[in-house]
Amino acid sequence: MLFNSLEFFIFLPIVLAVYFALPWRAQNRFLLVASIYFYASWNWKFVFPLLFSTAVDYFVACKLQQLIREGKDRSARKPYLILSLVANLGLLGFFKYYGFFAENVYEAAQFFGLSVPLPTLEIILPVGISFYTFQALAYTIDVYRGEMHATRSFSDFFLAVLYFPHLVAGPIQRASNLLEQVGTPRTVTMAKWRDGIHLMFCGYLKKVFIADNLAPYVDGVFAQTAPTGFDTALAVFAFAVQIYCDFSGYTDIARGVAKLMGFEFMLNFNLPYFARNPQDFWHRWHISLSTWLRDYLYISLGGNRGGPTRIYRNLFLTMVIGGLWHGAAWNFILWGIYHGVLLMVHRAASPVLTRFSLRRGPFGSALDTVICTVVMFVFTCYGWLLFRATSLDQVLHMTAALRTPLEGFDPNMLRTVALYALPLFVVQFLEYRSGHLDLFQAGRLTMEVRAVCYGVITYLVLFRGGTPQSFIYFQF
Amino acid sequence: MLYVIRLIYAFVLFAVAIEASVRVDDWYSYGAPVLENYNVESLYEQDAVGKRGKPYAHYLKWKLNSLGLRGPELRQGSVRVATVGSSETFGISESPGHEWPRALEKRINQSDRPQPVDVANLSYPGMLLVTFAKRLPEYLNLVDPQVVIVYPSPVGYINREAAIHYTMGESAEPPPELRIASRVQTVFKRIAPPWVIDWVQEQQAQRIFASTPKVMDRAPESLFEYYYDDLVLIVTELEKRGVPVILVTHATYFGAELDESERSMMMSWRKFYPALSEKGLLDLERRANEVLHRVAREHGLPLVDAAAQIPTGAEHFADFVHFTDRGAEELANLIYEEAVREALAKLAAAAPHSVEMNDVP
Repeated sequence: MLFNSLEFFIFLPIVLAVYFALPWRAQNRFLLVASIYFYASWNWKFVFPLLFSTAVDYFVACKLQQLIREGKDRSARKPYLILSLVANLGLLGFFKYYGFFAENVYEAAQFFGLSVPLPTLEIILPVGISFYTFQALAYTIDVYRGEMHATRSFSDFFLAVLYFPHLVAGPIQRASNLLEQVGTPRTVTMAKWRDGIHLMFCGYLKKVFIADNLAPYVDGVFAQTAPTGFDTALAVFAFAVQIYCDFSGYTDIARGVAKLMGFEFMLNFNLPYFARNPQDFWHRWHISLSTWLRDYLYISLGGNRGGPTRIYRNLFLTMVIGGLWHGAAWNFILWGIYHGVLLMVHRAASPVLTRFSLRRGPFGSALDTVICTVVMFVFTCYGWLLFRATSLDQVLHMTAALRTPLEGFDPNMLRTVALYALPLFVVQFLEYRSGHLDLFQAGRLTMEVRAVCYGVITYLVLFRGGTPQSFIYFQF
Repeated sequence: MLYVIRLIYAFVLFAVAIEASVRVDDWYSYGAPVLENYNVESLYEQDAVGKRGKPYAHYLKWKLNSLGLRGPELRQGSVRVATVGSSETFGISESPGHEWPRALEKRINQSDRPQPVDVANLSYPGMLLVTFAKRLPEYLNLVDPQVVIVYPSPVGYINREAAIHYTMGESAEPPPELRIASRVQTVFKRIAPPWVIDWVQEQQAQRIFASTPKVMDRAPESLFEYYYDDLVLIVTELEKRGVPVILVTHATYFGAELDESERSMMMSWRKFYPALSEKGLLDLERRANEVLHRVAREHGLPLVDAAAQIPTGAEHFADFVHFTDRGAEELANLIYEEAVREALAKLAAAAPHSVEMNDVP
């Protein structure tokens, strides 16, 4: 059941109506059932790995809590943590990476003239598996580290993991944040409804009007065997806009729906294309994943401890695994390597860059910002080429085409892409300039202004939206 | 209380914003007027003879040329083939440039020809043979066709007087319309599950059928007499001017007998013509095509039996009578292979200069 489907527009009002008719405890149980129904609407069989992963983490966390109470040290707790890691990552590995692994082992063996009898399985990837396994893992790791108490309530924990707005594509909530909200009665105010509805409108605008309208053009260019330099450059730019609007649109809708029920989700995007450097980009893009990778992977690998080589290794490994998290394909690994290298180079070059910075007076500072932002945006866009490409050959062809970005210039296509991209950039630029991410948020606009905006958005979404597409991040 | 008033005001603003968005979008996309009505009637204007296409008018995907005809400008020096019919010929459901006259033009020009052939599409939705007959002398001067293909629709004859009234442009000025209404209908059809659409259609149909006092299983004979007379009027006038005529029988979504799976489509069709039952509509089509056969026989005209040769069903028909791109292409090929090729060859053989020297702009 996609957020942009008719089923969801029937499902949500029913859920809200029943939710507000129930007392708090019953609300939780009802939300749990509704969330399972929401997930099962894709494929009811996928519910089993989801329940299995969640159940393992619940029991592991309870056991870890018991060991902590008994004063046992980390070595006594470690086997349980490993059990959780094996269960979650095993599940993820089987569903998401087995096919990739088997295919590559088979090809490598063939290259060396060997025969490896690995069974090839037609495995369908359960939707959102990467999101819920990471979320459940974070919980057991936090309990293992003693950073939070395990909850005793089975249903509370299940709801925290399975809560439908974030279940299939995040934001990857920290258990501590969501469990606290599940475990106490939520207060739903008019302001929360106002903000929630506003977020949903923004999300649908981004997803249905911008992302879905850009998708056919991007898909068309990436399906060509030899696109022109201009088509390649424009398609890569359009994909940058599409993937941002697709994913941040989903997040906005998820956050909005959660707000309607009194829940607060973390911010997942903070004007990512205004990042000044690779590190800044990862502070702004998919924040819930990048902070997860930082807290549970980068720090576990040693983080900033140790010499420069070790730090670079940690950075690199974190980004490669982050890339692999997105999908079992070489292009995602390449994308991870690319961002790992960008972070390493930026870290190494930071002292030099600071010395040559133009920050002399307000003009110098502004110019500095513009140059850094534009350069980082170009680097980010090239990263999206690696992300979107379907083969290494395509990466090479398109990279070569980018050397002549004006070849095959098509003003009509440029106008079409600009029609969707430009208003977004203008709004985000104003937000960036003002320093207020909430510049156009509900609380800053009068009811009358919002009514007009929602009227225009309703028109654009319902009557000018692109062909409905699944959310890109659902495949991860 | 003040909050409630503000809330109502906000809802009004919301609705106004949606309607304004539609109008601005129509203006941006199609050059439509922002404040006036914008519907299919925007394509026509009224003159002494009746309704006719407005030069350069366009409504959504439909564009008229400088002569007020659907399609591109006619080229100087081209051979002209004219098509006569109503909405099926004008092209309702096909993608722009795929209506059957345009498909026929492509097909003709694919063959090795000494000079280009333009197909002038003289039809518009709801056109009756009798109203076309009144406009015929004007069209002959304007287009100077070397061949005329007639693909008439008989359903307009069920209520001939009303149809004449409409095609003569004598309808009263419609009241200002909410453009959002038609968009909502379109989106509803796109997103609603089929069973919901069927249910809504059934409800609408039942209301219409309930208010129809007399439902006939067989159209009255007078209908076919008018049909025959109007057709003969056109054929005789064209023969008088020496323009070869090709007749084409009217094809529909349905076969000779109604299949159970076609019932929903038939109901949609009947909503427009509730005076005839399902059986009555099929009978009308059959007998109207017999009239075409008769006229073809009496006047020695070539006849393309599209009703018998175009496959029924959704692949060729977007609704009860209007073609899909595939259906339009198939009809064009059929007409070309069975009649147009020979007609053009005969013309070229008989008087090559007159065929080659059409300088009417």
